[in-house]
Amino acid sequence: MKLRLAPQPLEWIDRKSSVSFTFEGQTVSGFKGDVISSALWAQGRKVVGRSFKYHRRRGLLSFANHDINALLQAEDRPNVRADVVQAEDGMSLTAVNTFGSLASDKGALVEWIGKFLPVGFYYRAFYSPKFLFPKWERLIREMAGLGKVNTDWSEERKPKRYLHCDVVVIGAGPSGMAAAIAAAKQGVDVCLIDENPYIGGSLDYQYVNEDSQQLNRKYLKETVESMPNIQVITSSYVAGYYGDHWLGINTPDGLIKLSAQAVVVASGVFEQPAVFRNNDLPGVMNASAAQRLMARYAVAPCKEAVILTANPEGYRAALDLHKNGLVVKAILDTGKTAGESVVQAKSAGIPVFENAVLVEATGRKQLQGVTFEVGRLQHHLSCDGLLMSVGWAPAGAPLYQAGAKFGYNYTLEQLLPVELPEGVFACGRINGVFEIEDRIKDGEQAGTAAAQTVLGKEALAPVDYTAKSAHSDPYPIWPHPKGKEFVDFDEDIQIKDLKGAIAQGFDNIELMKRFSTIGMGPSQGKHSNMNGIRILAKLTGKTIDQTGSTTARPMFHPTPVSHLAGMRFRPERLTPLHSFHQQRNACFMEAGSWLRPEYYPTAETREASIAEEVSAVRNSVGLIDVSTLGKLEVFGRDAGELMDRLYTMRMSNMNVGASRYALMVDETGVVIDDGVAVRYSEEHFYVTTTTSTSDSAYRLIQKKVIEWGLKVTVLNRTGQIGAMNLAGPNSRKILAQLTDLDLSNDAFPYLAMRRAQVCGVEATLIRVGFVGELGYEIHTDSQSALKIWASIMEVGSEYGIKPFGVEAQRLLRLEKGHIIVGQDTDGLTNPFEANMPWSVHLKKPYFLGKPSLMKLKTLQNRTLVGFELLSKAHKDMPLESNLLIENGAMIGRVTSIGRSATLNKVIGLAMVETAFSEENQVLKIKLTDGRFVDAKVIKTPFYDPQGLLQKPDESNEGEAA
Amino acid sequence: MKFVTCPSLGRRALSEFTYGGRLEKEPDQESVSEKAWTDYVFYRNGAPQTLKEWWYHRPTGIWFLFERNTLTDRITQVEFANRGIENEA
Amino acid sequence: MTNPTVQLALKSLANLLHLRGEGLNEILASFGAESLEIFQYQSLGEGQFVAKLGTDELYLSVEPSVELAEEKNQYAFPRGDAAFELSGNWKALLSEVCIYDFRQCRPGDFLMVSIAGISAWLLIPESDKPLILGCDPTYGHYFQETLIKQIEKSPFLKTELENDD
Repeated sequence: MKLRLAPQPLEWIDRKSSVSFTFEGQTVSGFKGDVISSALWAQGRKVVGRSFKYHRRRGLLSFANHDINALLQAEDRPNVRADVVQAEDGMSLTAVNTFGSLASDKGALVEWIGKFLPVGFYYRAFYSPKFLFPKWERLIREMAGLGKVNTDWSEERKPKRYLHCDVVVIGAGPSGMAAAIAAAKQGVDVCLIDENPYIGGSLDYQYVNEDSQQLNRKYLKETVESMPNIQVITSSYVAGYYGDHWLGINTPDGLIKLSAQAVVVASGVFEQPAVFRNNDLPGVMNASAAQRLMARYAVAPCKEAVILTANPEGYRAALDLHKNGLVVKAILDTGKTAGESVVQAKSAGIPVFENAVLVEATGRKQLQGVTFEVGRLQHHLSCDGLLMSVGWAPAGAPLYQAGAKFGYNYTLEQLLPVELPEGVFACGRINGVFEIEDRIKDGEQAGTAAAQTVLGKEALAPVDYTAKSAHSDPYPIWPHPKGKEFVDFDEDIQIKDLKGAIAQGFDNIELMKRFSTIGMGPSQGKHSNMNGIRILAKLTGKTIDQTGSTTARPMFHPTPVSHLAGMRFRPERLTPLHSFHQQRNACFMEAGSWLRPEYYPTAETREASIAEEVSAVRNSVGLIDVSTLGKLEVFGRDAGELMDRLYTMRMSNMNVGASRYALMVDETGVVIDDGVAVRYSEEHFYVTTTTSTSDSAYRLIQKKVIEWGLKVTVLNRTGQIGAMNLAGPNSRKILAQLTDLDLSNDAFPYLAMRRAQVCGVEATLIRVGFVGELGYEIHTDSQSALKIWASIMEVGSEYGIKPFGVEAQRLLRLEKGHIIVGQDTDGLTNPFEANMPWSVHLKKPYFLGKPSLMKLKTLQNRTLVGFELLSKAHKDMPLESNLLIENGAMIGRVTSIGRSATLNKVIGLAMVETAFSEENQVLKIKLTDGRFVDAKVIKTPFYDPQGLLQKPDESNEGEAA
Repeated sequence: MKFVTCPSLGRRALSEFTYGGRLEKEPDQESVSEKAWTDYVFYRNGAPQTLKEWWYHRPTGIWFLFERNTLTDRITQVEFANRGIENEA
Repeated sequence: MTNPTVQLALKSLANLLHLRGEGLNEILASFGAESLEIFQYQSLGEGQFVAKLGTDELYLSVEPSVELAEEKNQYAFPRGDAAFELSGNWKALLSEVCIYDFRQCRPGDFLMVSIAGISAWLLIPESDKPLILGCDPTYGHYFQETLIKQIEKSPFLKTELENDD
């Protein structure tokens, strides 16, 4: 292994176990603990990817979990992040953005025609001629994008998990660890999150060779580990900050949604590259990247290094290389850095060039040397590593997302948080604190303050530990006449591209971003935004603060869709009779959250099966599960008053033992629910709602009880009660065998309700019309429902009883002209339009929506009508929601339609303009295929208009009791 | 995710609640003018303000009244919605 | 169950009743539970319990059933809730399906929360004891299926298992 170093004191690799994988078809071996990038680099493979636009060779740049052009294609997923994902045995990886191979990429030709592809070219180039666009589109799609998604991959959903703590600390470097400890010492629950597999942060790569930090390291790490109220979450990053200190944390196993009372952001700073010609040659990298390579993976960044720096950190990196026996040819200081590490570097014999400018990297396939000027004198040094340490930008995403304000600090030449939202704290380098001891103290005070916020205590005024000298060069940018000075390595943005964008008027930071695409690549500007801001500020003559910064939105890193999707919780309700339906192989359909039998396949086709069910009900008897109806108990002194106020009809004058249709409108007069109400006693009603409104109707009624101050209780018993409807001319004969109740017309007339034992079980029986035949609705406790159902089926077998499903029910009810709230009515339909003026008792002193209905009664301009289709051809069958057209204008739509075998015609309901609602009016229905078919308005009910069949041999008008 | 601390329930995620509109007294149906009724039914003043709002906690079936600032989305007061609220609105 | 850290079993609760009305404190007192506060329960042994849901609302599972006082407008409604017993690290499992912060509940709490999109009730046990929880019977099938799937598939729970070893 060409660049592997001797064991390092804190290395993350396990030298006893090796791993082997293939990269671009070649075998690569490394150690367990290596990330893919470090294993490649250790073997001297310095080209890990090709750039996005020009397909230039790229090596490591930031090596800080957002590396550029180090995205790889694995067999089972695209865009594996090579600087994050650990190397594993058997991996087979290729670079994502090549035509051919990484070594020989035909895409590199783009670089030669690059001058014809100016910034923003695709916004401008392809408008005309228009007919060529599909060609261009194909080409662009081929060229753009990273990685390939295999659409044969199976669905993958990662679980998510909720977590609650008092203080969350983002970043487990020295200040983050100190913050976590300080907060935990106050007795609150702390979560400490770091994106690396181990805590320690820069303490373990910037200070790895400094004896003075051994005590700090031992204290911080051991205390974090030992405190029971600190939960450490590693290999995980905060993908987004949301309101009320709610964090999305991406872990390898899935998303954690964490709720905290206070947040300490100790996420540190991103090292920023310098901008000069060929700064992207493999071998040019950030100094902190080199330090991570060495400290974590014992991999040398190069053999002969030149350091380009503007701060003590660069000198410290030089000393780290020196200590590892690597040649440091020179330190190029863009200014005159002072400090202990400068003295040490000089005494180690490393040549230092101060005030170095006009840096340029040289080399063809990778770095071979560097030229620069000092005092107008040009120098050239050969080297295979150029390490940049010229400045830092805040890793501020959580702070920005929380609403913090940043301001530019001219002492530090860095953006610092200047205004933090309540409960949000910052510490460490993101706060401008650079001395290691100060960072720990800054962390301690932030952690303490966060805990005290949680505990409701007054926090002390913070001590200012901000560094007193700059750690960033204000303008580490050297334009070159021949270009190729990259500002954004993700998107191959050069200085001239930004100049071009500004020249064309995109001189606002957000506009420049979108036009040039700076900061829009996979690293989302982590390595490029700051330099972009500096360039824009300089070219427009503004300050950094005036220039501003782009918005840092979630996600912080590319987050897999499987994490965002999470598990699917889709509640599904089964009725108490579900096991019967299953035994009968019912075809189920979704009705709200319920599964209901659509039909029971007894014949060869769906239509034939449904027809058999309909025929059974019309000619003998059928049984349907209506347990999905909403069921509410209403009881208490004011029960009658409540019923009157809720429903459009008068309810308080119902007799005990009677039932009545119950229609509810909202305050605007729109129909929102219908059902059947029965009266158990003077103070006790029981009312059903439609399947889909049980929750919302219950909610509304509870609210109205409060508003109206009534002494009444409402209970939602929907899931606790099973219900079925026994319908057909033979229904009474069957029921008579299962109950002692007198079922005669006189004793139990149409629309009456009786409570009785059925099959030895307490049940409520209601004689409703429902499908227009003699019928009984039976309600009983959910545990007993199956017993009654099974007995009815057994007794009914001699009459050829059939269970029927939703489709048969809809057809049967359509034949009777019954509406379905939510299908035949929409979000604006009032009872007059629904052709149910009889259901509105405007003489009542008060009911929900009454003033609206009084007005609407005078404004009606559409009406629900019944129609029959004038064609019987199958191809002429309209669909629900097909439009009615008259003289080219829409006059209505079909709301329900069905082919009635009973009546031998196609019937339906349509909402039409009132002018077209007269009987025998011919309506033109526009079919989905554009043809028209005629229908004729006819009276409803279509079937048994006098309603004789639902109350055979009865002369009285029901509801007696 | 917003969290709300409610009497008897403790700190609950707002995802357990359903919004029920702002607290408003319904005008007297007998005497209300058409204009006043229309305003009550349709008119919502969207200017930033602190509102009393109905919030329904689904798992317990309890209606709460929250005092919420529509500019900051901060909930400043939480109480049970008690019977006869119309008199207070 | 393949995951030994959490186990789910069906639980049958006898005579589940929902009581509404006045003077319910006398019924509470008959169980020696008059000091219950709202959303607390008292265990009555052998899986029986009484929970106070409000001044005029009780939820209980007792045998034999309670006598009602009609003059106090007391109404009783039988309930057929699906009920389960979760043993082991049930908080770890619930943290994947429930947003509630379980740090704030105490043994003896009758907790009503959303779990996996439906409303559920929980009898918060003494530490290390299994959790009894239930929901509307029509959601029972979904609830059971969802929790079992989570127990079997969750990598979070498996991680915890490894940590315990």
